Amino acid sequence: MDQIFVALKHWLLGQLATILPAWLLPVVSALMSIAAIIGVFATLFAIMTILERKGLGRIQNRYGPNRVGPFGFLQPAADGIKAIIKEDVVPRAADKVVHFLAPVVLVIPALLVYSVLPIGRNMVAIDLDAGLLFFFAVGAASELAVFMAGWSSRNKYALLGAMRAVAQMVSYEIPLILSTISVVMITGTLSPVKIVEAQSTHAGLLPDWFVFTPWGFAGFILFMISANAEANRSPFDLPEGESELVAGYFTEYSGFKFALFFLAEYLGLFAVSGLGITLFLGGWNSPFAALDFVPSWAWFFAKLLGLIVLFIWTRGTLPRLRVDQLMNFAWKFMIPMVLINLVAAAAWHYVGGGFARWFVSGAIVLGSYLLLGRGLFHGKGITKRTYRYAE
Amino acid sequence: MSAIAEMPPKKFELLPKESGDGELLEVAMGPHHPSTHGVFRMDVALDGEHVVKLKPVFGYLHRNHEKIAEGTTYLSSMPYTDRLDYFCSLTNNWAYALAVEKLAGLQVPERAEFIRAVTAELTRLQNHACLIGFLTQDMGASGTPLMYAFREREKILDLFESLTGARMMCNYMRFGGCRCDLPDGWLAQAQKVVDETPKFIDEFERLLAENEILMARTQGVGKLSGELAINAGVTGPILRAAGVNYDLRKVDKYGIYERFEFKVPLGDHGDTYDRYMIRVLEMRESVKILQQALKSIPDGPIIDPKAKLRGFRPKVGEAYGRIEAPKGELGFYLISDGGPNPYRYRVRPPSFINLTVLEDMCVGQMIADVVIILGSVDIVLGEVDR
Amino acid sequence: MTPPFAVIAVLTIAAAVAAMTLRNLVHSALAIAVAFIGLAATYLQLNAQFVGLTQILVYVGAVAILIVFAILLTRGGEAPEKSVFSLSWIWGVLVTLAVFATLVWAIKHSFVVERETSVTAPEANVQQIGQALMTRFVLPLEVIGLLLTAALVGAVIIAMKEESVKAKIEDGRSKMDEPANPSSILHPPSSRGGQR
Repeated sequence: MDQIFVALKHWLLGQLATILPAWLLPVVSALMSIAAIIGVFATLFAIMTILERKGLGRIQNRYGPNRVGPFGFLQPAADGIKAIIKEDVVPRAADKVVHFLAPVVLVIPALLVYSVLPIGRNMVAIDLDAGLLFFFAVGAASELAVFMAGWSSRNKYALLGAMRAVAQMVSYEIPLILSTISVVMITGTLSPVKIVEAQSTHAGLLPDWFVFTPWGFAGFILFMISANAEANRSPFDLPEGESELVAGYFTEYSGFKFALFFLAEYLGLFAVSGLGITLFLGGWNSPFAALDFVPSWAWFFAKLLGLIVLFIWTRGTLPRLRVDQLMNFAWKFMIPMVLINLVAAAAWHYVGGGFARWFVSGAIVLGSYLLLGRGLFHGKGITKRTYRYAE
Repeated sequence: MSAIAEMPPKKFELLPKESGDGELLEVAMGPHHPSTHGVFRMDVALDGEHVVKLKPVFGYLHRNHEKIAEGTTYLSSMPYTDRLDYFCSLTNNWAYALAVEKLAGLQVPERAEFIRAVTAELTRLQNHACLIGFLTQDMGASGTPLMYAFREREKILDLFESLTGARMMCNYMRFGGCRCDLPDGWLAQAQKVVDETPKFIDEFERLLAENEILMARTQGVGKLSGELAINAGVTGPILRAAGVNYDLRKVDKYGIYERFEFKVPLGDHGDTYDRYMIRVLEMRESVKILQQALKSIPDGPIIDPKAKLRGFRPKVGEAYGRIEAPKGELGFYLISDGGPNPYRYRVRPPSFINLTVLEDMCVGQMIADVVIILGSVDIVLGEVDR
Repeated sequence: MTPPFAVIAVLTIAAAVAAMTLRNLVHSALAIAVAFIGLAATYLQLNAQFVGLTQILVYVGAVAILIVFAILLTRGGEAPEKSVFSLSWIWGVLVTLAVFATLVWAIKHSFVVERETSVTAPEANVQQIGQALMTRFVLPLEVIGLLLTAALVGAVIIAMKEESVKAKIEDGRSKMDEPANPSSILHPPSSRGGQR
């Protein structure tokens, strides 16, 4: 059961080997992986849209979409059809070529990053030695696409949105990458597959996932916050902040191009969540040895679903930050915190086994959190207030 | 090809104009911007994301309200006042009725005064709840508090529906009293709603008041000094958030408000957070008033027997009736020449006058703050543009 | 010359030429980003994973964005009216040719050329690069780190001008007159109305 998809692919390739010339087989193999990734994650995108709208609806005391199909679960299909048949409006003043290219350029890196994510045992499209680096390098290209979208629309809201988005993505990329460095330090590899393997053992009751260490826990939280900001989701959704910038950098997009922006955004979210699972939550490993009979890919998607629910919950609960607060948070809290987290990880490695390393590493993380957290609000005069009454 | 299509494409200017040593970006927020609470427009000059200049532009919803009212009878204007601040039609009714009653010298029976006070305070409750919902929506809270506020508003609108037959356009008050008496069981229903409200306010406050993001977004943002507020004629919760003790329910003691025990909350900073909290506290005071009023409604007629609906011609003179509407001082100024319709009919809309300080509150803030400052001013375009 | 290399090389050179000749500055910046990607692809094709990926991360993710921001914040990104070809091109071409000739000469006379080329290419994986950086080249690495930190602090100090916004507001208020028509608040309305 665990290797069912791997076996299926091998069987298919074996069948094709009899018909096709040998040099074509690697191409076919790659195409099969690509088709699987696009199919699975595009479906997940559809599920996520309906799940998000339903979940938000429940948080807000309403039903959410429930008209199309049973319980409204065919809503994504209806939305997709609508997006395709809708008129594609391009502003007269827009830079047509760049305007057209932007969504395409945005989706390509969003799909490319999946090639290094191990979504199950032996289930990774390419096992790159520098997989983690590949992930971030390709992901960085999406900033350019966002800029292209905002600039080519010739719309002031779009331009402001693009400037915000790029500034935000550049700022939060630093804590995002640095928070993964602690894992790289401990495992000594940049390959996602090897990082997952490093977490496959069990120590007592808990599995050896990095989230169950002081530095790993802090790193996971920091990673998820940065991931939230990278994916432009609430409370960091300023680039598309509806109440301020209408729709940010994709204000002037309609029809299927708009749907592509949506797709890219959610694909990016899944990818970065998948990376978080790989780095901190043990990848496709099961939490208990007794549960090893469940296929590895099932664990990966279960964890992914858990993180998605977390994202939906956050979105339904928190208001949005302001630009300067966002930057303050990145530069005055996140970045010092990830740097200190590196020290905590080093302490974990060098202090040696047992209680001592828990204490030292935990103390570093907790102490810096308290200090930095206090510094964030210090001197701003932001307090709870009491009010007086006139007689 | 239409005339618009023939126009050459405008040249795109990123930074159109220089001012001093920096370059400014001019953005027209509205009239089709998602968070201008209607068809309102703000022309904003931005330095980066900081507002250097802001100009409110209104009139997109102008309906010639005052001139139409001058051309029709006194009573026919009553349903038209519903459309001023369509969130609070009952207080609009009351302010207009008050002006006409002053003009014609009508006496309102005690029962009608109680009903008016109850409906006005219910209106205030739902207006403030929704305002807080919209404000957090402007802050990007994806609608959760707004939906909670709407749940509460729904109960109050149900009350209005069973009382007046309409949920929003109530058209309930008449000169010298009210249109119809309370239906059976209405008081018990209202009592139930009022009893549940403190729980809702507590829930709201637990959810929002101490949220770090909300505090960081609103505290110190959009400060308005009491002095400027007085000079600009600002009224309502905005004025009280600036620390000025001015509530017409206490100052004028119109209706029967002197019989109720309630306090006027005041803010010390005059920023957006104060404006938000003042509304929460006012909701609590409204609940107090409602509790007192619902328990002591007397029996009796609901309209002055002298008042006549047909052939109503007040004597020559002028009158100004004003009340503390949820958004501020709502006044109607009427001049009668003895005819069936007013010679001059003038509305003093609180939203419109409160908007005049918008630029002073916004300059120096960031563009994201402009949206929440506008949200905290609490405008309804039906009233601003009339 | 293998087919993949040919494709990458043509793409890279075409993008570089486009970056030079396109009139719109933002287009040029985007073209140069394509050239950077092409360069990275060349590295990857040579099995230099780390260098190739770092090339994308640094040049596409940071340098291209920096160029684009610089264009936006300085000149508004509109295309110049006149052609980009001018007499000064001749000098540019001469300088380019000189540099190219020097490089060719240097490579031709390099001792690397004389070495045996048939030996297998050295396998350099990420771990080896990391180890080299942390042992043999640790001092240069630290010096570069210090330099970058200093640059960062310098940038922060330059950017920290708190009063500038307030001053600008005061300045702007005194300089801008009240407009007759509110359709534009910064300059008098044009004959066509609306914003220019």
